[in-house]
Amino acid sequence: MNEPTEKEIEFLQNLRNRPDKDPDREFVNRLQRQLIQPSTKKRPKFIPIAVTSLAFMTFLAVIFLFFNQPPSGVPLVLVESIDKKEAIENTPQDGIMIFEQEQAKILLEVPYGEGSNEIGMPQKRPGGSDRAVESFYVKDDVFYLLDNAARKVIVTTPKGYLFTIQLDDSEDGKWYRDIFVDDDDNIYVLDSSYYKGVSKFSPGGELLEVFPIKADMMDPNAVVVNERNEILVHDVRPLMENLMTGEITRTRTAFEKDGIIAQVVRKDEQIEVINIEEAGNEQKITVPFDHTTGGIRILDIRSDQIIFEKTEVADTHKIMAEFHVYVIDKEGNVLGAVKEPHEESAYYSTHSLRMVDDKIFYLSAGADSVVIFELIPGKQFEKKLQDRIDEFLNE
Amino acid sequence: MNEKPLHISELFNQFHRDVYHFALYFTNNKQDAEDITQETFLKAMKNLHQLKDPQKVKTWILSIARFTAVDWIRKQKLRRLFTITASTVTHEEDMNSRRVIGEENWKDLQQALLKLKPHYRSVIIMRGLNELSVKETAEALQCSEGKVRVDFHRAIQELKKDDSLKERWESYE
Repeated sequence: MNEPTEKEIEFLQNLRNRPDKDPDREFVNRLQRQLIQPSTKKRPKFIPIAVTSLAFMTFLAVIFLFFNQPPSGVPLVLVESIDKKEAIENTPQDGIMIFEQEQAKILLEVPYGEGSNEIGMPQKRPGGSDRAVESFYVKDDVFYLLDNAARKVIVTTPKGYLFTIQLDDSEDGKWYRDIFVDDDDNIYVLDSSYYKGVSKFSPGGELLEVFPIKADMMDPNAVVVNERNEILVHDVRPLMENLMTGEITRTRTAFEKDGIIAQVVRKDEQIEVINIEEAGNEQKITVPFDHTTGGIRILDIRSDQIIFEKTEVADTHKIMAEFHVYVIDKEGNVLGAVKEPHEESAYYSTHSLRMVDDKIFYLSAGADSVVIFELIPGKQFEKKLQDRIDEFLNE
Repeated sequence: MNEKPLHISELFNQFHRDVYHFALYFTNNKQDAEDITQETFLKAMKNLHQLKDPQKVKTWILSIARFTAVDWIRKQKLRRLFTITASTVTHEEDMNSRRVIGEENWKDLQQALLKLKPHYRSVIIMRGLNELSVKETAEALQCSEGKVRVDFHRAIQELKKDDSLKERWESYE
């Protein structure tokens, strides 16, 4: 019937004669190393910070519930009013506040559904491209959610839904990957598909212009608008295109702001070094890892604070990772940190962490809804990776 | 619940060649094949907990590879894909005439394969080259076994129609 004949199969087998059909050994080894972190060392016993923190948090939460009404949103840790005064007093002039205890406050929750104020259903198939929320932006308490599944931008606030921008869905394979809002509230949406470009919308959602991206930018994944109103598109590779001039430059730095240039260099599996060039001075800050490094991404540098996302990867054959946002001073001392609440994420958005002005926002794409948290670093913060490793090793 | 947990290392060791072959036949480009292979295993690593039935791990990973490859084309490679030639591949001349014919065939066949729509291409690669059964191909492509049979048949017919392959098909028939 519809089964292939032996001759058809035989003919197709000719493709196997191609001389380059096997992967290069070097590539295989490199990828294997990337995926596998062989366990070679004994780890010190876990100090139960989490247990202590939990007891402390519970105690404070009980006090808070007795004496206060819950604030808007649903804070996971109800300690804000207690140490806010101290946090304000101890915050350097242009730094971000660090509380006694880390906090992850839920600011917004949007369910999946077909309504204009609901997120399109995410694709359930692993590896599929229709991850629903690919990126988000927060400006002046207005949330912009880029919904790649339903090809739209939802503009909403914790107090109520505002409006939806329907994006172009005329071509198959559109992939909306990032969103940015400029100082004048214009909205920029990056389409990273074959038809790649940046669409600029007015603050009210009217399409103003579409800026094409050059073919050399093969995998664009981020859009920003600088202080000169130039639209800059970053590629997964270290390339950046200025859409105003069409110039493509090789981005050599991990972070650049106000004359400060910072790069992150991996020293070994447990140490990353942040190199900072500022006013002709060079400074090296060593960042140790408890397990093995999954990388550092600098979010901002202030006069005496460096704020970055740190990924710890378990040194076991089972892949486990944990993400924190750290704040350190320029001597390398940890001022505070906050753990990203990624446990409930059903899939990972391209951009799940944003720092806008002094606030850090985290998007968790859960199975039933999309939640945006505000992350507030604390002097005390949880680390759960060792618990998960111990649990795995005891299985 | 006593099943041994599946590790990414095992998955990689067992299937990296299958994934790479799929990606190479799908794109006819070594660099793309490497990128797709890498992205496939990184996605697999993130989603390993979603794999409910370890018996279906091969079709699961090939399913990820297929989605990744289709995305790859959509995103960035379409234009280049249709203009790429097989001339980048160099190999020694073989005096054995049957072998030479075989090599010519693979180039033309590869070019013809690239002209097929991605779904047909996936069916041809999985059924004809990765040697998946109809059932396994259906699992990997997340469609019915009937559709795999029909689409494989149609894809073969499409290949037969390709000008560069017509004569050779006839010599096989």
